[in-house]
Amino acid sequence: MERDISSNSFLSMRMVRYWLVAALLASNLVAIPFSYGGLTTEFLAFPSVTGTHRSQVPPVHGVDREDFIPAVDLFITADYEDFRVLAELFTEANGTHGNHLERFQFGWLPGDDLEVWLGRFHNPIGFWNTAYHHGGYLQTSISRPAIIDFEHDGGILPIHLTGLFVEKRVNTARSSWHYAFGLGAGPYFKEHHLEAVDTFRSEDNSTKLAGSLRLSWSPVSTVDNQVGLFVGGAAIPGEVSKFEELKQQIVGLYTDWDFQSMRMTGALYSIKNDVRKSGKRTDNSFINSYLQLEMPLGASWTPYGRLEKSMGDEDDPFLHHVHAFIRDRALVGVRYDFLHNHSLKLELSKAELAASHYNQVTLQWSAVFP
Amino acid sequence: MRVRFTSLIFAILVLCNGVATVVAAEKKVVLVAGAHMSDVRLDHTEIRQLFLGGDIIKDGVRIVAVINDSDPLLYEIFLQKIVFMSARTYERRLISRVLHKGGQRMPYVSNLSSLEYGLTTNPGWVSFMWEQSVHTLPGITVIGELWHGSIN
Repeated sequence: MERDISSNSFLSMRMVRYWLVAALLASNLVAIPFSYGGLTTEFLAFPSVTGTHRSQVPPVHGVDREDFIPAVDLFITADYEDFRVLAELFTEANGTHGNHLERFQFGWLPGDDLEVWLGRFHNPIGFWNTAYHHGGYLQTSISRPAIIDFEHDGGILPIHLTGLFVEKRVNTARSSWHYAFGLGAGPYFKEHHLEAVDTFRSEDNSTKLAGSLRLSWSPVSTVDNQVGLFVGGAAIPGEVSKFEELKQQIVGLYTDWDFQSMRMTGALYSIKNDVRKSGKRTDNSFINSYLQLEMPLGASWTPYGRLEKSMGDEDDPFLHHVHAFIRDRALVGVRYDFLHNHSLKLELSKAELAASHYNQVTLQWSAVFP
Repeated sequence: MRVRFTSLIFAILVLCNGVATVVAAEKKVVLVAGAHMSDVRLDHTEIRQLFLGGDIIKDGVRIVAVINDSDPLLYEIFLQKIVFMSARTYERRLISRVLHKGGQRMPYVSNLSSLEYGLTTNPGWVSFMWEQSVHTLPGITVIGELWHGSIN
């Protein structure tokens, strides 16, 4: 499908330039964490440039055979006594994502590892979505697993919610339990993809409730290793021409474990899609899973590989409306870390969509400042 | 001649023993804070969480972990024996934590006098250093031991 090369891409290029200038100014102003009268702030900028070549053009709006996408994710946070605010703004040129305030959260942190947030947040549906957010530099790979892709990029789950988000950690002598609960306005369906609620733009489409609950466990000896379970649900309004409403139920488990010589990240999702069209309901359940292995070689090189697989999704009444969803994928890549917080990544992948398949080569530079 | 040879062997053995003692000297890395925090105690779980960017509040004071970057060997011991990560992995984890939860990045302090000043003037600051360094910093108190062992 041809991309619309018009004022839109020009505008988004211009927007990226504006944001890059704003990011540079901001990083100069707040490169050193700012503190005044009990108010403290922190700023992070995650720039990236990604070049992609595909063996053929996938049937996805906004995606070409070749892509060149400069992007920047800006993050700012401020604390005052027990209260915290954070915002994450992502902007890119030439891609499917556009410019969005991805997260905007007001938090109350009364202590005892309890955090209560209001605003737009990333749904704790598995591991990846709340581990890396939009900071591409932080994840070893270039791509996210398709099941947890952002709504604009062909994701099929409610990735962003606007409402209440609560996190609580409970430590015992040998382990640490972490609870996360999110409930809020979920996405709606529009033109072959899901669309999350935009905090600062008026919405033409109505939204309904979505939520999830995640429980994870970590041993004390390695606090960041974890295994977890999650459940979630969403009611997603559709387009009249496609379907009126989708009810989605999600159950799954995940792990992120660092064995020193190898890191393993994986998840298993069981999803039930119940679609109402012309008053008639059709449902289907399917399984999706991914497993990523990373093997650091010295301080700079990290080869990695990931397999993603869907089962039972062939006749799903919702998935065939989401053209960009990648059902199966196999990829290998290598990450090279250099200087202070810069990385170069090369990724080769083979992707299967419902109606096509393609091979892809992606090269990305990413970093974090300051 | 025989006596001299025995004395020589004895002297060499004593010397070797002394050298070995120096090379494999036992070192201690301790958790330190300003003297005003001498009553604060952190268990191993809290210490690990603290240095991985977690929030710990003790007696109403938010504890802030500070990285002592004044000695490369000390930082390497901290990475290998206390957080069990490479420097790049550790720094990525810290940034990841801030991106998820907000708050400030962990301060890195690259000389001991600045660290002493920071620990004595900022409520809640804790850091780590060689035990022997504490003796030269009068405003600092030891609130725990993080690691001990020999360094060859």
